[in-house]
Amino acid sequence: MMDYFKYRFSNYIQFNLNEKDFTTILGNNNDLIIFTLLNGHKKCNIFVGDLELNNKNKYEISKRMSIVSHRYLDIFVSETVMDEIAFGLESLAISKDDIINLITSESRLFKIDDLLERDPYSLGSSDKAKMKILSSLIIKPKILVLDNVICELDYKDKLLVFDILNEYTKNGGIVINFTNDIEDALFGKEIKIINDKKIICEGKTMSVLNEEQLLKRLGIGLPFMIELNKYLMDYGIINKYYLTKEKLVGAIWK
Amino acid sequence: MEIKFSHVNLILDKGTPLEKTILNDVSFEIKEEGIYSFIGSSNSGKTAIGDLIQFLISPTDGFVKVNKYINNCGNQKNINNLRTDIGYVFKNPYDMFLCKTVREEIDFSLNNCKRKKGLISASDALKLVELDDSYLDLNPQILTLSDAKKVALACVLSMNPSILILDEYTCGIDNNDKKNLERLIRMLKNKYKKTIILLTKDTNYAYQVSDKVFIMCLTNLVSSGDKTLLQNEELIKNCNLEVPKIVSFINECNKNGHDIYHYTNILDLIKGVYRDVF
Repeated sequence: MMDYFKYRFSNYIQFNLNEKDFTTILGNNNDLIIFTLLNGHKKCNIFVGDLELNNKNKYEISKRMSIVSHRYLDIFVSETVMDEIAFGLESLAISKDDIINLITSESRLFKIDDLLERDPYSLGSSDKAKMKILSSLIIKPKILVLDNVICELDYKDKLLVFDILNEYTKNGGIVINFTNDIEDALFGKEIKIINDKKIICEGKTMSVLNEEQLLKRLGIGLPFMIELNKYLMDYGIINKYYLTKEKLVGAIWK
Repeated sequence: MEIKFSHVNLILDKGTPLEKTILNDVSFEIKEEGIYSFIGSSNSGKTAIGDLIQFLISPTDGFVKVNKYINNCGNQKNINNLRTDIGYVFKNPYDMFLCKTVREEIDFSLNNCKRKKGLISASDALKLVELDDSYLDLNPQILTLSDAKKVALACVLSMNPSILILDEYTCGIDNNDKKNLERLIRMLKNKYKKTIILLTKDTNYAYQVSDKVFIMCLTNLVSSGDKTLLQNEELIKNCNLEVPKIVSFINECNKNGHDIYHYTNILDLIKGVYRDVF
């Protein structure tokens, strides 16, 4: 099977992603990758499907890949939330009735249906981030890139957004989540750790979280439940991972 | 130092269709140094409290008193010294930068507070937040989010403020930086008797560091007290917040008939569990 998304930064950072992948990228070169994804670079070759990202294919690729970045969370194009979400659909020349139907159904999913007539500047940070994710997701791109926006969300909204993203990846989408918080990595399927222009570690979520020494040396740390399990294993109280607190408590006091 | 809020109401765009209530009858008092956390989800009015303490906005009703300065409608005179006495790190650190390089940025804050030259330099300020000299000649606008937050903190600290306000500082920084920040604010509190105010929704972090917490929900100040408030799961869930992971684990243990003290540190927790098992 062909890889849908290919990323080459000369010969430092190289990775391929396939459909239905949910990847979390941790490390200190996140901004470099986001910059190259936005603008392209002469050292950098990015393939989305059969197209390479360059000045000629820029607009075709922006239909397939949308990027939400923390830097542009405060920048809006229109006066109401409704127009803000409709902006992408209008540029794809979709009819007016379809736009309204689509927005009312999707916004109910994100629980922002009562905010549609509001001014986007008056929203709270969590609603603002949800609106930006929705306005990127509504044009049904193949790839969704999130750059440090998950940390703006409240806890309940975070669970909601991860549910929606998991559903989206099941239907063939690709999610790339750039973050600094290791707790968010538990929701994804894969983790890549990039430090000083090198991929240090990649693989399935649980296998990467086993590399305790590496994660602590890079200053990323471990999620709370994993760290607790690790210490309890060192003391010999349990002998395998239990990821929910109910199971863990049941296993400690047998 | 003293901060006092007395029946503060804040309504934006009053008398227009865009009218929005930000704070509703908030009263509290902070008298001595320490680490205070205002915890609340978004739309609860945390940022407004930071803005009111630094007199960036004035309340619709009631008054805010910081040291000898009073902030009520239309009475803000001679507050130049207050600006350098309070350090405020904004939610978006890029809003704070106005010079071309990090060195000029820190020198700007140093000149602002009329300190004698030569006592403290830009690289000393960067050392406090664990950055090295290679950052001095960079443009602050191109830094990554976590580095930009650190530089913003260095600028604020170089003014030697007696009150330090950090707005959503912990979101978007990694584990090591959180530990360094904890060490820094503990040092500021114990050695230099500063007051640190954290405006945050990260209950895990606030439970570790804070001396006193104020819980906010939808424009109201719900309750205040020491950090045992965060052990009350019902209150936290009603305010649309995350129960701290360590608290939810200990509560689960205690529900099943085991007796474990509410530790804040994971290493202490492991020892407690070990003692209970054997």
